[in-house]
Amino acid sequence: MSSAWQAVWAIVKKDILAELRTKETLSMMLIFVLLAVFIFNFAFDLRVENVREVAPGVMWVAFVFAGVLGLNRSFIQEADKGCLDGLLMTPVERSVIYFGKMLGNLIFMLVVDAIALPVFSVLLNLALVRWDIALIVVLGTLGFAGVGTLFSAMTANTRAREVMLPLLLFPVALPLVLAAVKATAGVLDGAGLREVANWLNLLIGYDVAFLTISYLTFDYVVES
Amino acid sequence: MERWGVSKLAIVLHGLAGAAILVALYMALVFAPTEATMGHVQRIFYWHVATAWVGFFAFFITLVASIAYLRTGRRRWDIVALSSVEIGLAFAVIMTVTGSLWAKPVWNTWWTWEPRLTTVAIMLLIYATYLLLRRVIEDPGRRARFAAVYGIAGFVSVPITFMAIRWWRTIHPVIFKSEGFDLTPAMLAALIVSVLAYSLLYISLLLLRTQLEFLSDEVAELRESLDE
Amino acid sequence: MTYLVAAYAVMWLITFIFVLSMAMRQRRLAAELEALKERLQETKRYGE
Repeated sequence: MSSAWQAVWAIVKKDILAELRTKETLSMMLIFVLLAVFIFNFAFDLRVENVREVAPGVMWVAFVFAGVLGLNRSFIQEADKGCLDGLLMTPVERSVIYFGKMLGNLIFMLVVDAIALPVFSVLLNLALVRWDIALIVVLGTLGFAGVGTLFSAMTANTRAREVMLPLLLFPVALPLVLAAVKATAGVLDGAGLREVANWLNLLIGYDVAFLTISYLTFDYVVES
Repeated sequence: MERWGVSKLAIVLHGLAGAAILVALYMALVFAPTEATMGHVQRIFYWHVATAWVGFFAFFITLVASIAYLRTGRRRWDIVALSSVEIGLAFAVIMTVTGSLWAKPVWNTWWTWEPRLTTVAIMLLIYATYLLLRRVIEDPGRRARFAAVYGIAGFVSVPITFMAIRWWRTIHPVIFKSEGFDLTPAMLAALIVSVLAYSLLYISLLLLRTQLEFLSDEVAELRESLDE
Repeated sequence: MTYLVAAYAVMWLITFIFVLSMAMRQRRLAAELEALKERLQETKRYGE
C-alpha cells in the first residue's frame, strides 16, 4: 500500500518538476482563464446589477476550459516524447499511473483556480475567496480531473486529438459542472452549504463515480 | 456466419415486432380514450414514453456489452454495444422530437431548459460523440476498447436523466411512481402494449444491425486476405 | 391534432430512415462480397 502511494507520489513529483522547469502549461492555463473573463465581460456586459447571477457560470466555464488545456497536454506530451511507453514499462500497476497523472492534473488545475479566484473577485467585484466556495471548487475540479485524465489518455492516441478531448469530456462532465455552478450560485446568494446540500451530494456522487470508473477502466486505455 | 444468418426464429421475431407495432398503433390512436384536458395530442404520450423507455434500455445494453467486451475482448460484444447505441440514439431522437411536438401545444414552447430536457440533450450529445469517437480511431482493437470505456463513462448520464424529474421540481410529469400510475386502465393498457411493441422492435433491429456488422467484418476479412 | 399527426409522422420517418440506412449498408456490403467472390474465383483460376 505504502509503496503504491510512493509510486503515485513519484509520478506527481515528476510532473510538478517538469512543469516548474518550463512553467508552460500553468502559464497557458492562467492566461486562458483571464482571457475567458475578459471575453465574458464583453459578451455579457457584466455589471454590478447582474454580476451575481452570471459570475458562477463565468467562473466555471473559465475553469473548465483552462482545465482542458492542461489535460490536453498531460498525455500528449508524454506520448510525443515517448515517455508514456517508459512509464508503462515501470513495474507498477496501471492504476498507480492513473492516480499519479490525475493528482498532477488536479494540482495544476487547483493552482490555477486558486490564483484566478482572487483576480475574479477584483474584476467582478464579488467576494469569491471563501472557504465554502473553495470546497465547491475542490469537489468540482476533482471529478473533472478524474474523468478528464482518463479521456486525455484516450485522446492522445486518436486523430484530431486536441479537438477530441473537449468533445468527449464536456458532455460527460456537464452535469458535474452544472452542479458546481448551481452550488456556487446558491452560496453566493447567501445560502449555507446545508441548503445547497443537494448539489454537493450530486458533486460527491459524480466524483466517486468518475474516479471509480476511471480506476477500473484505465488499464484498457493504456493497453497497447 | 451461418449462425448469424436468417433463421426461422429471426423471421418470426421480425414478424412479431411488426405485428406488435400495428397493435400498439391501434391501441394508442383508437383504443385509448381521449384525454379530457389535452385532447388528441395526449396520444403522443404512448409512443413518447415507449421510445424513451427503449432508448434508456438500449444505452443500458451498451453499458452491459461494453463491460462484457472489456472482460472478454470478444468482438461480438463490441458489435452489440455499437448497434445498441445507434438504435438507442434513433429512439432517443424520436423521443425528443415527439416530446417537443407535444410541448408546443401543452407548454406553449418547443423547448425549455428544465432539468429533464437539459439532461436528455446531454445524453444525446454523449452518444453522438460515442459514434464520432469510433470514427477517429483506426486500430480496431483500440477503437473497441476506447468505445467501451466511453460507453461505460457516458452511461452515468442515463440514470441522471431518468431521475431528473424525480429529484428536481420540473414541468415534466412523472409517470412511473412507486405509488402507481395516474392513468385510466385503458390508457395504462395502451402504454404497456406500446412499450412491449417498441421493446420487440428494439430486439428485432438489434438483431439486424448486429448481423450487418458481422457481414461487414466478413467482407473486410475477405478483402484483406485477397489483397495479400 | 396537427401536432399529433406531425409527431407520428416524424416517428415513422426516423424509423424508416434508420431501417433504410441499414438496408443500404447491407446492399453495399452484399455487392462488395459478390465482387470479392468473383475476384477470388479469378485468382484461383489463374493460380492453377
